[in-house]
Amino acid sequence: MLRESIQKEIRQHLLTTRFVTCLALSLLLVVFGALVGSQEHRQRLEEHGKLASVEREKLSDIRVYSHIKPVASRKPTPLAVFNRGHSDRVGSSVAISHRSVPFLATGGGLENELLTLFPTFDLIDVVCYVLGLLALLLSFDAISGERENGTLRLIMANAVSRGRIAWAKYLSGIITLFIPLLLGFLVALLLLNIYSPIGLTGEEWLRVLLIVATAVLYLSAMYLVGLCLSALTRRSSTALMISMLVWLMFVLVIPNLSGFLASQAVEVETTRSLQLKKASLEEEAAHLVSQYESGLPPSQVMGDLSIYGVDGEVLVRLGRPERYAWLNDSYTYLNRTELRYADRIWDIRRDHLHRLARQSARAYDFSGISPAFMADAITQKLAGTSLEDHEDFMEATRTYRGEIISYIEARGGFDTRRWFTDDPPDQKALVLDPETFDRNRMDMERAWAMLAAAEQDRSRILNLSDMPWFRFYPATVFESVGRASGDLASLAGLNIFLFVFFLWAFSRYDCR
Amino acid sequence: MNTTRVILTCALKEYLASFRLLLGFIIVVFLMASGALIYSLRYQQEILEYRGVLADLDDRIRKESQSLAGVVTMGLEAYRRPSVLQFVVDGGEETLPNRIPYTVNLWMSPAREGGVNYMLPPFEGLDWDFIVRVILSFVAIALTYDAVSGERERGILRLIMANPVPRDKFLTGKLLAGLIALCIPLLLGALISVAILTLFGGIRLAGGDLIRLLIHLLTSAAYLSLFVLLGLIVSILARRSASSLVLLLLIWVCLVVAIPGMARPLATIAREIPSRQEFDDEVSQIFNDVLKEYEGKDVSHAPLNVAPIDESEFRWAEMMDKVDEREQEVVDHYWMMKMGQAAFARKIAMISPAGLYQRAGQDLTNSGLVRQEEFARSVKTSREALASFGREMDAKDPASPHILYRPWYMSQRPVDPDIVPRYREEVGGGGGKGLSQGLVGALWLLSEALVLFVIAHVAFLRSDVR
Repeated sequence: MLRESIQKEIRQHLLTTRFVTCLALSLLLVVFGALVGSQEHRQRLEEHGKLASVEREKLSDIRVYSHIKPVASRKPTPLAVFNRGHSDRVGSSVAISHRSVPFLATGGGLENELLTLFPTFDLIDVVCYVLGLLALLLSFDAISGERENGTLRLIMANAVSRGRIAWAKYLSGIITLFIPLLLGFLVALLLLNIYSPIGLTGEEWLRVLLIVATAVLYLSAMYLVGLCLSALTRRSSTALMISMLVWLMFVLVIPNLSGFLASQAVEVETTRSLQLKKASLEEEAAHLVSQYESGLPPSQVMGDLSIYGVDGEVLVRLGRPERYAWLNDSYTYLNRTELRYADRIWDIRRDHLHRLARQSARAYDFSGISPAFMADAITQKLAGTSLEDHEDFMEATRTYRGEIISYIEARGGFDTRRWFTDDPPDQKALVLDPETFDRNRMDMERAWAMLAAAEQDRSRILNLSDMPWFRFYPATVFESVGRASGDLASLAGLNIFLFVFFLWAFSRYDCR
Repeated sequence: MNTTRVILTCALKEYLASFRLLLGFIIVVFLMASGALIYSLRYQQEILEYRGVLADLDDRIRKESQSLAGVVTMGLEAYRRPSVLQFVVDGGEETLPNRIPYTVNLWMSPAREGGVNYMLPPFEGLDWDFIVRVILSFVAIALTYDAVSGERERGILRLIMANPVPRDKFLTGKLLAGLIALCIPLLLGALISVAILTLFGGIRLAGGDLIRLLIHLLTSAAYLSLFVLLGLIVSILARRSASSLVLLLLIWVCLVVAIPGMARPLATIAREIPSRQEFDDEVSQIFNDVLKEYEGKDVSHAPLNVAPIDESEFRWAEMMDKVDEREQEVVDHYWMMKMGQAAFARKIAMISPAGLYQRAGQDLTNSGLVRQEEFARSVKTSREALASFGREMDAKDPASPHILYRPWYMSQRPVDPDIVPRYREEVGGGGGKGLSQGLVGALWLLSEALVLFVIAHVAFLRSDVR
């Protein structure tokens, strides 16, 4: 009996215009989104590969330790097609430096800050918007519509319990909604497999399955909301209006409102005050260094060739031995100070990050009242594009910085002249005697020739073949599920609550 | 005309009594009021921070003004002034670049400092633009989906058509009724919003701002009329109100959410730009490249007090000018590419009236990309002002070697810090270009509405009233 009523209901659903138009639109958007998304993924992957090859090339031409600035980058995940989450707003690569602990990432969609003007739309949005709408459209007149048609009385006249009718209504809706969902995901996966350079791994398939399961839970919640409204109202047009309102609130108003409210309601230290704190620490460090340098014997500026790069990179050539001795002392002290102050600046920044994370958590808490937002939060975690996954990556870059520092430390990089010069100990200086040196009569030909010889000399390149590489192991499926478990539990709980509520409301429904 | 008025009053009364308009009314007014509260808090914070930054900059200029060379060649920053009208159109106020570091020799890529927490889930601000574009357009559809089909279903349409009512007047009446019904919550919300902002936010709106605000409201009316007409067309064509609603909702999702949402990923694919890393590498390569061109020549330099100035130092300055010039080219090019990518995204979004409306609003209130363009341009102007100031002051000092814009080779005399040109933004004014562009956007919306009206008319003429 149950099976027959379910079959009848499904047949009815499948024939409606709402179902057909929603199916068509969702497939259209899925095809478009998957094409664009897989293309974007390919681009990200190329960028990641390029970064790695540039990295290798740079590493093979490093002559002094101050130039060791490896870039740690995170491999893009193809699952970002389903839910890009935070992935294009937090960056995916970090330049490692002994002077600062990794704090913010760059790249990976962050290149153009002007694009923040435009919102994004991905495959989970198709589920949340279009299929969520379909769920409500299929259910708003499930009870009140049948009453208006007079069929509810006819059904009740038979020996069918209300519980059984409720089950039939519910199951038929879920099965109907599952059809466009499944079709959409199949199409997306097919396109992803055709256009993405690498297929999905076994673990990623499991993640996709879990994303589908979450989508089913979400659609079921939306369907139940519609059923409840239908069982609470006498007229289906009222149910329709309220369910449209609910949909608008769930998918558009609450997510926007929560971020907007949280950004003002939860106090976060301004970037300016953070920067002032950082600047005062840096000033303190600079003061220490200049104090130390003033205690050294006066330095011989004359006659070396120094090239200063970004972020403390330095290369000095053809200097006099006294100059090198002075620089060695100075840089040893500078490096020690900078390493110490990097940790102190990180302490401030870590606090700041914690506060930012707390603000974000409030926004997520608040929008927990919307099942659409919950589904978004869960699928982000499953796709590996959530904030937690980014934090994992950042933590890995911090560990990597530690490894690099101890690697340089072990080879005496910070304290020897190899920090700033690749001149061998017996290198002749450009200026032999500063007392008789006359700038205007300097032999420039000779100077450039010496420099060119130094540039050509491959033996000056540091052998960094045993330098540690950046490794990042993203969270496993089980960890991701663990992280999403709270939201998953509340989404499931919402389903159960709504179902019980629907049974109760239906049992009291006057079917005349 | 009389017939139109009768239809209008009749339909308007029906709308005003309807449950849907009541719901829409409550939401719109609630959201506009809470948006105004949050924006007034935000604006106060932003202004405070902006003043702090300016004061810091002033301190630094005063410190450096012991020598002309120091103050002219120091690293400066231009800050974008927080927009008063951000409660009307947010336009990326908290996410788009607000700071351009520059020196007398070059201006660098605009950057973002502070602003919204990047860890928050992505959201749009509750500005008027969002409320009209998303909420009110939705209400418009909910209001009109059964305007014709509902009357047909109830048999009223036949009765009306039995009277001497021209069909175009019937349509005009329905359109105006829907528009007026939608404008009531909009205007009330706008009034409440402005009241809250002036009372609690301490915002004073200048005459120009008020005009922009009014034009924005008119543009909103044009945008909403599009959705009312869309509702009328679909309800004429659909046999049943229920299917009319479904179709309208799906069209709405496409226009308001899906098309604007596709703009960003499409632009990233179609207008690919080099990554930040590649840009940085390119910039850091410039110095080495230029140095190679000077191979074999003496380009050494020393502080003024060490040795008398000689040829090599002029050559060094020339080389540094070349470095700056090339760097400027690279920076400019990168910025142009970014702007091009964003403009492409905007073009895609403008396929939908929602994108068109958003763009018109941003142009009108001088926010979004127009603002960025103007910001970059005005920094360039103030850099030139600083350069000519340096040149003039330096010429007055006979002791200076007159190698311009190099710290050691310019006048070392102290200058009065108050006459040093700074980056200052004119309050409100300017942006005449934005205003006219905004008007063009509004006209586009109007002409789209006109086309829809013609379509509605044709559809209605051909429709069966039974």
